[in-house]
Amino acid sequence: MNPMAFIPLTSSLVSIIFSAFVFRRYLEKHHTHNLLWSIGMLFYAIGGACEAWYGFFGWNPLVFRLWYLFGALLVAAWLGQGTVYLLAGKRLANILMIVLALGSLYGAYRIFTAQLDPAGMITSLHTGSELSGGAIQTPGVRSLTPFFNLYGTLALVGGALYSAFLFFRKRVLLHRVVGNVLIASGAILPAFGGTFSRFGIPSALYISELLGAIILFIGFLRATSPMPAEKAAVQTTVSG
Amino acid sequence: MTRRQFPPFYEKAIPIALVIIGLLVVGLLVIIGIVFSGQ
Repeated sequence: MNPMAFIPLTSSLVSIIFSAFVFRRYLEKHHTHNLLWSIGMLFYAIGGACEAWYGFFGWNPLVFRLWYLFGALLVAAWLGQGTVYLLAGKRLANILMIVLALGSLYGAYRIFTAQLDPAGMITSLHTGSELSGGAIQTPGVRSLTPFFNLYGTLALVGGALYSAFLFFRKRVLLHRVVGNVLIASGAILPAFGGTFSRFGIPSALYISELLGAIILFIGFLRATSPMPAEKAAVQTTVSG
Repeated sequence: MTRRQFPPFYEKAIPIALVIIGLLVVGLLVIIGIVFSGQ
């Protein structure tokens, strides 16, 4: 048993609580972006649970395929799609949703029919202490992930930065400004962790995923509840 | 002319945070570009 497995287990627990929070908000307000964020955080939780399983019990092909599908391929894109529904027009968001859904089905088909070899995770810079896409032997499967992750990261981080900037420029809704800054920070952490993991830095992915889940959750809670400092916002007179 | 302002800490911290995260996104894209162009 790898004691580091407690890190993704904690990420998974944080993510599933976060997912339940957002889903409850969806049931209250019926906003599509909340539903997609809830699904995205459920994927985050599945990814973390698979990483924990690998650490506790070792290699399992089904667990690996579930990890690669939900944790490596889909999570960022589905979270980002939530932000697209929040910020873009409904027609554009619906078209992108159809593309994402079809792409996700294609990705699932490719991952569940791919040939696997766990020895591939111990080659190059990796030690095999954590899951890595190196186990996939079939060409063309791993090359799908950058498209999903770039779309998801740019939509989620870019959308949060854009929202924070708009509210900050108007000096309104400070809680949304702070919440969006935290969401952008939390979303970019796993992206960096995944990149550092490619360079063989041990546990970079798991630690960044845990910090990312916690900061995303705090950001969501902050963005959805006004803060005391807002009442202290002041009116100042400026010349010109 | 009056202009609404956030508390001083947020007035300073938020632009810095936005710039840092923006630079990190650009840095990430550059790293990803380097990684995938090397494959």
